[in-house]
Order: sequence, then C-alpha cells, then structure tokens
Amino acid sequence: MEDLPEPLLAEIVKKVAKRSDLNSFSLVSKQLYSIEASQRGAIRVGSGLHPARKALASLCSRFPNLWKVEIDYSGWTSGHGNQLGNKGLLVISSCCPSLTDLTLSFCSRIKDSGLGYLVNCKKLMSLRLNSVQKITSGGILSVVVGCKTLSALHLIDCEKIGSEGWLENLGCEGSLEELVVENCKGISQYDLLKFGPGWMKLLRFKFDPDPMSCSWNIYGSDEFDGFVIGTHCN
Amino acid sequence: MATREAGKKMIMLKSPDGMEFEVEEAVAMESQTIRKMIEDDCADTAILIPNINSKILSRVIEYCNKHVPTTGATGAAASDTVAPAALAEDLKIWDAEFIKVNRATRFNLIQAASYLNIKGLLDLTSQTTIDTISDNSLEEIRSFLSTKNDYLPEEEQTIRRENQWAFQ
Repeated sequence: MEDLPEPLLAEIVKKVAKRSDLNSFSLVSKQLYSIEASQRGAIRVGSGLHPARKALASLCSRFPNLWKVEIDYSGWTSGHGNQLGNKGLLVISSCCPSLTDLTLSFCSRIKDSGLGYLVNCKKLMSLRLNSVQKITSGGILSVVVGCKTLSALHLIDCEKIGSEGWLENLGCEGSLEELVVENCKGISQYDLLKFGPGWMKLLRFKFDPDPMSCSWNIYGSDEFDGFVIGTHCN
Repeated sequence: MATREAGKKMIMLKSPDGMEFEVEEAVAMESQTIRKMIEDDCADTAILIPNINSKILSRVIEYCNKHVPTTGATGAAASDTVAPAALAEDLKIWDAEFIKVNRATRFNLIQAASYLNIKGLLDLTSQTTIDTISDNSLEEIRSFLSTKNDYLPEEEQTIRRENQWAFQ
C-alpha cells in the first residue's frame, strides 16, 4: 500500500484550499490534472482571460463540475484586451451544467441578450450583478422567467435596471429567499410593492436606494413571523 | 458478546494477519463502518477488518480511544475538571504527535480512515498530507506521491498558461 488509490487522492485534493497548490497539482501529472479538474467547483476570472471567450471556454471544459463562477472586471483597463461579451454567458450556460452561483462584476460588455443565455442554467440559485451597467429590466425578467430555482438575487450599482415586469413576475411565480437592491436608481421603495406575494417567501432583504441618503433596511428572519423594519442613515 | 467493567459492551476486532483487539463498543463505533455493522446486528462475534494490518489497526484504535466522547471514561480526557477548550487543545497536541509517522504509515492510515469511515482521522491525515505538499516544488510533490511527470514540455506550457487565466 505504498501509493494512494485515485479516490483517496481525490479526497485529499478536494480539501486543498490554496490556489497555488491546486495549480501545482495540475502540473504534477496527467492523473492529478484530471483529479484536480474534476474537483474544482469554483473559479473567479476577469482581466487575465485572454482572449476572453476562448480562455473561458477552455476553463469551463477543463473544470466540468463548476457550481460557482465569478467574473470580475474591477480594475480592468483597455490594455487587458477585450472584456468578455454576451457570448461568454453562452459558454457558461452550455459548459457548466452544475452552475448554481454566478456573480458578474464590472462587466461593461454584457447586455440583456447575454443574460438571456442564462435561461439554460436550470440549477441557477444565486445571481449577483455588481455594476453591470448595460443590463435593464428586460434582462432580469428573462432570467426570472427562465430560472425557476433562483433563490437569491443581488443587484448593486446597476443604473439601468428598473422594476418593470421582473419584480411582479418574481413575486408571483418565483421562490426568492434573498433580495438585495443597492444603489439602483431605477428601483424605488414604492416599486417594491410589485413584489406582492413574494414577500411571504423572502427570508433576507436589503434595500439601499442611494448610499449617500437615508435608507431602509428590512430584515426577515425565520425566528420572526414577519419582517423587522428599520432605518439607518449613513 | 463479552462485557467488562460496569456493563460496558466490548467488541472484538480482527486484523487479516490474525491479531485480535478487544475494544469498548463506544470506541469501535467512532468508525461509522463498524457502527453500521453493530447497528445492523452483524457483529455478534469478532469483526474482521480486511486490508488493515495489525500495526495500522492498533494505531487506529489508539486514535479512537483518544477521540471517543468523554463519557467513555478513557484516559485523561474523561476528567470533569478540564474545560472543553483545554480539552480541545489537548486533543490537538495529541493529534500532532500521533501523526508524526513516516509516509507509508500515513498513507496506510488514510486508507484505513477512509475504509472505516472515521471522519476526524481522515481529516487529520489528509490535512497533514496537504501541509506536507503545500508550497513544495513539483519534483518534491512527484517524489512524495511517487508519481512521474508524463507531460510533454509543450503540454506543460499550455497548462501553465491556462492556470494564469483564473484568479482562483
């Protein structure tokens, strides 16, 4: 019993937390490469992807069991090359069958039509959009209609998103447990009424229309039969 | 089934090389595999533990003895006067000593922990292995895992490039 059998090697690789160690494993041998690749559940990518879509496609086919993907272009400059566009989300929706958690940050080329590809992510539970400026209500509506398992939605600094359609649909048909809306000028607290019956299922809620002014925070909790409502001023 | 001291149930574990170990049922049940056998009433006489030699099995029993909940009244851990935090600290120090073994023994312990389904021991042995490998050169990792580099230079280059694409 000098060597470890493959399932035990996989068990060990699963516990490795440091990315540099995971990268080393992939370079040790072909066997470890495929063990490491099948264990990898989460990746975070951004400016380093070059050329963006092709690189993402290789990563997605290398790691077939990704459940969490974060695309973060904070700090991006034109020198990094083109950002990932709409087709990038097509790559994710077709190559990551286990995807449950997607975060897009500072993606300047992704529009509603890109978000529309996510309707094929039938397991998507959590979507976070952070400063994705070209997305409008229409894009959110397509995700809400297509991804029935969605249980957490975070919209932060997304100027163009209003409340038309998606809030009402999500409230009536969806099963959302967590809603965070911060600094989205198109969504006012009065719009939130459209969420209707959705409030009964919601467990966590945060609403900050503008961080510079007074804001409303409403927290839901299992321990309370309803919501705790409070205000704070920054 | 044998009993000893204040009605404590004893279980006989047998290794394939013919050694027998009499252990308290509570200690043996630290292994989920053995627990299931006992609960399914498959453990009337001795339980044969395949693939785990007496040397490794005795170390595994030593681990379970130390880690069995304190009501098992085994060793110093049973003292009522010791605070839980101090107990946990004591266990950590004990674990660190316990795992100071050569590579072959550690690999055998990993396999035993996996077969017997003892989560604490599997975590301890795997984590120690990760700590040993962490930050080592590729050649050192290969030698530790007795694996050979089967990449062509250009294949290795491709993977190195791909590894740069993701932040994590």
